[in-house]
Amino acid sequence: MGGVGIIITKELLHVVKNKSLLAQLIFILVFSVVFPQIFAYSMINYERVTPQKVFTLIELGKYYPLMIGVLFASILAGESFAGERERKTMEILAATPLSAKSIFIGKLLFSILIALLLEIPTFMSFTSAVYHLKDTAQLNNIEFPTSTYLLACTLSSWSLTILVTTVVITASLLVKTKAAATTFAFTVLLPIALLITAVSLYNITISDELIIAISALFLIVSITVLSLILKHISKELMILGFMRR
Amino acid sequence: MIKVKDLKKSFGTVNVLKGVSFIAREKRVHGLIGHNGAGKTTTLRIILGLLKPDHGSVIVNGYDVTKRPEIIWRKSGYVAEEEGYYDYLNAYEYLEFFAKAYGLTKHEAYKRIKNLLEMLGMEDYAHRKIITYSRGMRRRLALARALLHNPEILILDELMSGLSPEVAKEIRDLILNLAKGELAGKTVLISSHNLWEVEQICDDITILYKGRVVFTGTLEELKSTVGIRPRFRIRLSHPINPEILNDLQSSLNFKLININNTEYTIECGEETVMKVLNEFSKAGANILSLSEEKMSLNDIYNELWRRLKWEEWE
Repeated sequence: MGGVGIIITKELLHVVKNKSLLAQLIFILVFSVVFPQIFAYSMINYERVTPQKVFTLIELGKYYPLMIGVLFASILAGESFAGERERKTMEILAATPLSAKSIFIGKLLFSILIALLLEIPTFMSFTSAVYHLKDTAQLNNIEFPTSTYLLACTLSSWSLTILVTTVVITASLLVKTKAAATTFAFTVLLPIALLITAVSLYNITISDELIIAISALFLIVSITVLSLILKHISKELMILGFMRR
Repeated sequence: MIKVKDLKKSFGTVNVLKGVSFIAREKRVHGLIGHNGAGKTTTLRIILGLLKPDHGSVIVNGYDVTKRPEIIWRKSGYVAEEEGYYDYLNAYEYLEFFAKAYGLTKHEAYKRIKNLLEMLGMEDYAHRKIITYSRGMRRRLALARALLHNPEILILDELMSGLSPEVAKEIRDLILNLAKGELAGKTVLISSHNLWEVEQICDDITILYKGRVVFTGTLEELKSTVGIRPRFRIRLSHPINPEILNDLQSSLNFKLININNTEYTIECGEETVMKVLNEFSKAGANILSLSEEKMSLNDIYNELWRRLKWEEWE
């Protein structure tokens, strides 16, 4: 497990010292935290708060932090193997005693941890904005946020972040360039963006219980994908990728 | 000692290695030479346990590292042909990360990094970001990283490639100095296009040609294997009549390489040269000087390459 820690530290240094990457991440974070507050403020100011809109926003709360987390994870995961190959640092890293598994897990854990960590302020900001709007709409009889709601939000964002990060980092391991990995990451993001749009436009409601069940399923899929990769990962794959072998 | 035995490797339908075998002995510098695509980098990557061969083995201290690569990862230091650096770090941070990866304690890492930076003349660069480094300084840093854990085996893939002649000389001198100090006692494997450099640095050489070994041994052994006769430069008081010279060539079996006024360069065995001198004297010329021309690795390699091409064509 020492190797995993070394890789996590290296990845953290990469983000902290790489100004363009850091700027990208800070921009997304600031936007995701500030946006719900501005949105709530403008709705209240222009007296557009209706109970229906509040219900839609409550529903959206299950997916909004998830979108941000997955976006973060995609950027970092896409950078990981394909980025190292493009910068020609992969071979040197592979020639160290760190095992291929620990390098993979280190990169995966780092991307997941950062994404989950950043989902917290995003979720808090969104929930507080919705809470404020609910008060304004005088929906005092509605209990918000309920413990099931919180569990559904947490589980859905965690499970999907873990799944998407695992898939994107695997793609980054297999494809040749960073651009290909990033394109793949954004393709994975598309269904989540579509889900959010559908919820906003057509007031689609998915029950908290169903979300919890789907999240559990996602976690199982993630674990299956991960165990498959760990079984087949090698330093040869890390250096050459699948397409160039 | 690294014992490479019958390595075969293909990528898709391309057979990159077709049975590579050689031995890199302990405490010696072994050069791996060959044209582009000969299979040098693939061979080094297999030795390093980064690629799995389709067939064959690499034995290091009795262990087959193709089956147990973790042994070579601990024992070897590696500089890749075209490697990148974590440009946003400074030399100290960069080396500290690799020291951790090689399992050095914080205290050991600090001492070792300090020593290496000093040894490689990089003390002033320790806290400068790598992005500001020149190419030569980056190669020094790569060398420091490869030596960080004091490895038994050092593998340098085209260390001097792409460097300006001055910087290449600087790095070469550094290697020659290290060979007496830091590198002494290590098994060093160098791959290079630059045969002059290989000749300066290496004790043994292996020549790869299209994925197979065409020679492995010392430079002297290479000369006798290729069958190149020594060259002698003879300076005379008077020129020799061309007709007499032609007759002598066929009767004494020597090859005239060059004539420059009264200076003749001939290729023949050591016994023959005395007979040639005798005949030149009989033809009325005084022998002013005789010297043996040293054959460079480049000359020998070119001759070998020409023959291989000829064999292939035939």
